[in-house]
Amino acid sequence: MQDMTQVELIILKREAELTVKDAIDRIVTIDQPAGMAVTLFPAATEMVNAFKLGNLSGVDDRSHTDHRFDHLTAVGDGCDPDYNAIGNLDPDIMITVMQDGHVSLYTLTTMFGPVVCIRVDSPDDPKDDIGEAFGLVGYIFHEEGKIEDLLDDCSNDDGTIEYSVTTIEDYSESLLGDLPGGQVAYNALENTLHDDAGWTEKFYEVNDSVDEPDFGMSNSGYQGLDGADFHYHLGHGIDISGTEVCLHDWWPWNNADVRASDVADKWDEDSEWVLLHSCHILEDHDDWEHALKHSHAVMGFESGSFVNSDATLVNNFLANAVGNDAMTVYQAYYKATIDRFGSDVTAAVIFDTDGQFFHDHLWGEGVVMPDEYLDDDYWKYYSWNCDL
Amino acid sequence: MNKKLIILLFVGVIAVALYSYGMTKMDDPQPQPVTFGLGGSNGVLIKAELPEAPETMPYHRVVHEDYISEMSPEFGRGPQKFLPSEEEAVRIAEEYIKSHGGMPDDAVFGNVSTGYSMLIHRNGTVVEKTPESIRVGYYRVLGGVPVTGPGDTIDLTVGNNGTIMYFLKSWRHIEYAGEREIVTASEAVERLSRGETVNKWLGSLDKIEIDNVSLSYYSEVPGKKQDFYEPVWVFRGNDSCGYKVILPVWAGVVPPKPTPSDGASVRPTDRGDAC
Repeated sequence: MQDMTQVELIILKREAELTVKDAIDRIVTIDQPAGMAVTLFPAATEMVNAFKLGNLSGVDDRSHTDHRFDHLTAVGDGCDPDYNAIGNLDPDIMITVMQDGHVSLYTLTTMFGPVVCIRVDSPDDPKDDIGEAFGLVGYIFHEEGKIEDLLDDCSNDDGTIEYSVTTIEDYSESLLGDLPGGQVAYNALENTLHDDAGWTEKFYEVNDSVDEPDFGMSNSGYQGLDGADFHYHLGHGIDISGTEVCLHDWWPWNNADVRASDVADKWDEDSEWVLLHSCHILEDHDDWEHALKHSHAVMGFESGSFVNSDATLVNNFLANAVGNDAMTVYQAYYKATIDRFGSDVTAAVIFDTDGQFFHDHLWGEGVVMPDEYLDDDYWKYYSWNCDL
Repeated sequence: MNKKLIILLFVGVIAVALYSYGMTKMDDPQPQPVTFGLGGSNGVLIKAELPEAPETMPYHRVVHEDYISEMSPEFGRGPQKFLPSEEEAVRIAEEYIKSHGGMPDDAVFGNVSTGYSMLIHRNGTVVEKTPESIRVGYYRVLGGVPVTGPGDTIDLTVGNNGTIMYFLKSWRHIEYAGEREIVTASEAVERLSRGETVNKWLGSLDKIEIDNVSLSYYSEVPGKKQDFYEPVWVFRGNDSCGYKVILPVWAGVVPPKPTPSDGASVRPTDRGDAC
């Protein structure tokens, strides 16, 4: 673990060179000023980019497919570097994330110069990893002044791994029929996230206790779902001139709903992933994506038929996303939907960045990409039929 | 000039009236189009011909299920720039199935399709479409009758260079168990109108147009215990947003117990437009 005070203490001859201890306790000396960097893993790319895109000359292949980085040189990745491409760029520093199959850091250092390793996937204290990685990268590029802001914007939370739940089964005060499965879904969340993975429950609201503010409609005061890393909602969704999450007393004329416009640019604190187990909501994906200011993803459905017929969706999602061989968030959701639903259900996801789509795991289960900084007003959307 | 305009208007009104009448009547041999609310839906309109029903249909006992759901760790982990053609993907899928238990005799090729993700700007513009994978699917036809429901499916996702990224196979081995006396399609419509679908319809306010009615067998969620394959009448169509709707109703004169659709409620149909 990198400790900021420790980093400060081990800086030697700051004017000429900087010596830091990286995330795997290697002492790395970097000539100053640190000029052009090459990154060998998407999380490293996101972090350097968050400080200063101008510092990047080459990025890993997967980052290179992101429209923000496609003008830079693709250099393979830590497991399969393109030595010629890196050599041609002659970087002052390389930043990577250690993972299985990574080529020898000694070899890379011998060939090209200093390599700094960051961590973004410690199962024990994953949020500290991201904080320390930001601290280290900020130090290397002499952007210490930005570290606090970036930590606020990009890892942006209270250091606790939390989930929240809202379920509406009782629609007896509305035009809509009741739904089954809220308790089943909650039990799965409690068993897996709370009991097995050690997450903290931020809040659990049911039926008439579920209200608009629970969906993170405010940037001040009570943050609702934006105060937790993962939120699950079960309830009706409908499309009347735009999709809306229906509250327990929903009628077409009473605004007992949450619309995309209510949460636009609002999910920017703790929230990383939101699963809306409701019909139709992501049919309006080009509106709901605006909610993801610093949050990573919304998972849900486009179609309206038997979406709510299987409350075990979240059980399957969690079984895929937590534990040994945990899948990425996208993998876990895709598999959960394909395994459960037929050809009359269209599932969908919105991710804030390519990197989050490809790499995000739930906290403690693998890599979690940093939040996007600065917000580039682009989102990735993908939908699929659950059976061909 | 005014006379011509009046005649044109008159002809137009008659044409619209005839067209509207035809819309509800043209495919329907019954005297009236069937319209009703269904468990929160805003109305079901059956525009399909109701087929003749046999007196009986076989039903089947499930012996066991082949159930495989395997996802490569590389699924969804990076761009798929080297996808094969869809034709090639089908060939790769069939080779894979042959080497993983073989293609069931009653499997029928369903579809192949390439999925594209979209990079969307805040103003709604789709800036880029990127292929994510190619999916190849197979379904089951049992004694000439297609099986419906989420089970009995073979679904492969093909990625870069023809790598199989995801393989789902749910195929239940069955044996003949006897004959079921079958209700007519009209009686099935009555069951549907009472909300007696195999799974309770929970869609909200959707208007549903049914354009196909046929007999089928119902197959449960992959991996879920199912004792028998029972005949169902299947009502296929679209909701008002254009999404596919499939409503199976038990076709046996005596429906299997317990009926999963217990409690389905019928709602009035005179509500505002909604998807």
